[in-house]
This record gives sequence, structure tokens and C-alpha cells, in this order.
Amino acid sequence: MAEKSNPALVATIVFGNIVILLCGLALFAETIWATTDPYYVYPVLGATGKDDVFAGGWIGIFCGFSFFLLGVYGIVAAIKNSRTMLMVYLVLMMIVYIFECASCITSFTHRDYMVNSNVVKTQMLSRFAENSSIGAEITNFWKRIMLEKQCCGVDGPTDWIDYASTFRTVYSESEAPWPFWCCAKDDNFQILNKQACRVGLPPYVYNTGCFEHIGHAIDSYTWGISWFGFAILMWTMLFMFVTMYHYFTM
Amino acid sequence: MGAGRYLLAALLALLHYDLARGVAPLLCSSTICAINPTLNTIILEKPYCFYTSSSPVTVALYVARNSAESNKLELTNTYYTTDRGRSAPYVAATFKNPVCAGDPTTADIGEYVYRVGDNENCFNLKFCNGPLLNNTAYRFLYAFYDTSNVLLYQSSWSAPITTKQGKNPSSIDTWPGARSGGMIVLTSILSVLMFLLLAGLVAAVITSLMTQTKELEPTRHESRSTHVPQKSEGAAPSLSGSERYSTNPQP
Repeated sequence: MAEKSNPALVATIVFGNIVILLCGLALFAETIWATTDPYYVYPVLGATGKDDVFAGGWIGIFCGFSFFLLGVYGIVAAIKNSRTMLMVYLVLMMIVYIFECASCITSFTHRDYMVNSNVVKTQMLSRFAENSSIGAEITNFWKRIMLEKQCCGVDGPTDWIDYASTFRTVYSESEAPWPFWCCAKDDNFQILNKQACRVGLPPYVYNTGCFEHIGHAIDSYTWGISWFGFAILMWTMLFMFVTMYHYFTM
Repeated sequence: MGAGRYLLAALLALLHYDLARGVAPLLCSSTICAINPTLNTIILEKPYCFYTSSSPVTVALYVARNSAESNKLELTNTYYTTDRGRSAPYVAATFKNPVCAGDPTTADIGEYVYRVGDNENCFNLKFCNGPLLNNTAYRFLYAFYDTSNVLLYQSSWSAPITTKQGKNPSSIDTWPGARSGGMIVLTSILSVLMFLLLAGLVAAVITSLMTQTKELEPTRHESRSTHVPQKSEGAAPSLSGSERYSTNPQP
């Protein structure tokens, strides 16, 4: 079916699809980065059952690669000027588009739930030092973040004083008012001054909370998955309309 | 912490007011002990310059609940014999009278402050500094003894200091509250666009089906209906007479 075609329109579609396939590759790479969880915050999300930020990431991997493949296919379809190929392109692109929308929305909605220090605090108080597999995961997470980021609790050491917690039932306050991971350490991770840490003398106990780091990690995953995905969807939407116009007029 | 500061301020005021009558144990300064009191411990400043003497002097720290039945000081009273300070003041610890001139640094914090409730395991100890009860008011007093346990001087009782009560973690409100603007923008825009695109796609599918049927069926009819007369017209001069008469009665 060789029909008359507008070369400028075809050129536009080809250009749009080049951008889509490049962005698809970038999304593919970025969502792989997010799902590998370099900040190691998965336990916090997993223990609440609100780990769909990562589900969005997995869908994003699929969608990124699909955008890449469909971008290539769209270029071929536009150059061959075949109605059937363009129709197949539009239908497949629509499917990927819907999945990518789901990825963006899921990821962002769950980010809203988790970027709330109270959720993380409740979890920390009930799970830290708990004798269970989830407890072990959460305890390891907190040990690691308090050691690496030099912070204590969600909002500071007062978390362990103001609230009853599993940690408190395991260790009496006389022994450890807060986990010794909150105590300042030297380069070899030895506690600098245990007694000063126990009375809460500021340089020897970390006074800042860790929530900033957790929130930052969840946010950066969400920016990658949701906002970048959203930007690609905006661009794809434009060129799907152009392709439809081309399809109607050919 | 707010309550602690308030208490500290009140104590300081009390101290300045009561200098003539005597001094009382003070809460550790909030710049040093940021979180004080806690659930089971209260950190006090050691009695610097309360009593100066050239001979060796031992300080005993008495702890009693605010509601204690008696206020009588007995060096033999312990954490357990007084039911954690319920019946009478108990001796939490004895230590050397700190030197008034000394200016302690934060590195040896143990020289500067005393943490009441510090010792959970009092096994085989003469004086037990066991954990305090939470949400209970306590009063403190420093008494100064010489080597033969003769009372030389005693400070006045401190104002009551209440330990904290830990809140239940399930009382924390975890409702996320208002949705973020980004989430609303993203969801609404994407939903609308998805609808538009779906509408466009459906339109494309319908038109492609319509044009296919239009293209296929009418072209066949047209090719027959136009082709046959054209052929007959174009071939008319060369047709035989019998055919000519049958199809075209006119001359």
C-alpha cells in the first residue's frame, strides 16, 4: 500500500521516536539503579508492606526497554509508511503507555505514604531489637544507617525516651538509654566516651535524626521512577498524537 | 525536655532565693545532659562547693519519692530496704566530696554529674543505685559525712523531679495526611492524557476498519460496473452485429 506521505511529518515522527528510544534506555538504566537500592532502604519499605515504590521501579524497567524497542519499530514504520505497521505501533505503544502510567502513579503514591517520619518511627520502635526475621532486618538497617550517617533514631535520641519500644523491653534504660549505635565513634568504630553518651552529652551522642537520609533516599528513587517517567510520557503522548494524525491523513 | 528545662529554671530560681538557707541538688544543665530526666534515670550535678573542708569528706546521695513516708536520713537505708524510696530516703551512692576549685571538663563527665538509676544489677553492692520508677516524682539530698560517719552538713531537699512516662508507639498517628501536590498533578494529568490517547486509538482503529471495508468492496463493484461498460463502449465498433443489436437497440 504505497500512498502519498508528507515527508516533514515522517521526519517529525522519526525524530520523536529517536528521542523516545533514547529516553527509554535512560529510564531502563535509571529504574535498574533504583531497584538495586543503593541507599539500602528496602527493609523500611518492605516491613510496612508499602514497597510499591520498588514495584513501580520494576514496571519501569520493562517500560524503559519497551520504549526503546518501540522507538526503533516506530522509525521503521514511519519510513516504510505502512498503515498496518503504524497501527501495530500505536496499539503496542498504548499498552506500554498504560503500564508506565501505572508505574509513575504507584511509585509516587507509596512515596507519599512512606515520606512520613511517624510511619518510620512507629516501625523502628516496634521492630528494632525484635526477635524475628523482620526485626533482624530492621535492626540491621538501623545499625547501618546510624553508623554510616552518624545519626540517631528517626528524630534524634529522644525517640527512645519519649516512647515505649521493643528496644526498651530488651535493654533497660539504666543500661542503654538509646542504642549504643547512637554514640559517637572513632575511626575504628570504638565508642569515644560511653559514659558521656549515656548522659546524652552532645558531641558524644548523635543528636540528629536519621529520617532526613531515609526520606532523601525514597525521594530520589521516586524522582527517577515517577518524574522521569512522567516526562517521557509527556513526550510520547505528543508523538502518539502526531502518529495518529499521520495515520488518519495517509 | 521542656518540663526538664522548666524544672531546672525553677530550681535555679529556688537556689538563688534560698542561698541563705542552703543549697539543694540540681538537675544536670540541659546543655550537658540534653535529655534529662528520662524514664528511669535522673542526672544530677555533683555537689560542687556545697561544703568545703580540709579533711576528707564523703558525700551520700539520698533519694526518696516525693510521697515517701519518712524523711529521716539513715546511712544504712538501701534501694531494697526502703522499697525503692517509698518508705524512706535511701542512699544511692557515696563518693568523695568534689573539690570546689576543680573545673571539670566534659571528657570526664562522671566527675561532674551523677546519674541516679544507673545500675540495673546491684548484685553484691553495698549501695544500690537502681532504676527509678517512671512517671514518679523524686527528691534528692546530699549529706556530708566525715570518716567516722558523723553528719557534718546536709543540703536541703531538692524540688520534686518527675521521671518521664514512655508513650505507646501505636499512639503515633501514621496517617499520611494531605497528598503531595506532585502526586495529584501526576495522577490527574496522566489519567486525562491516557483517556485522550485511548480515544484517539479507538478512533484510529474504527477508521481503519471502515476504510478497509470501503476500499475493498466498492472498488470491486466500481471496477466491474465501470469496466464492463467502458469495455463494451470502447469495444463497440469492433463488436459483431448480433451483439450490437441485442445490447443497443438504437441506430
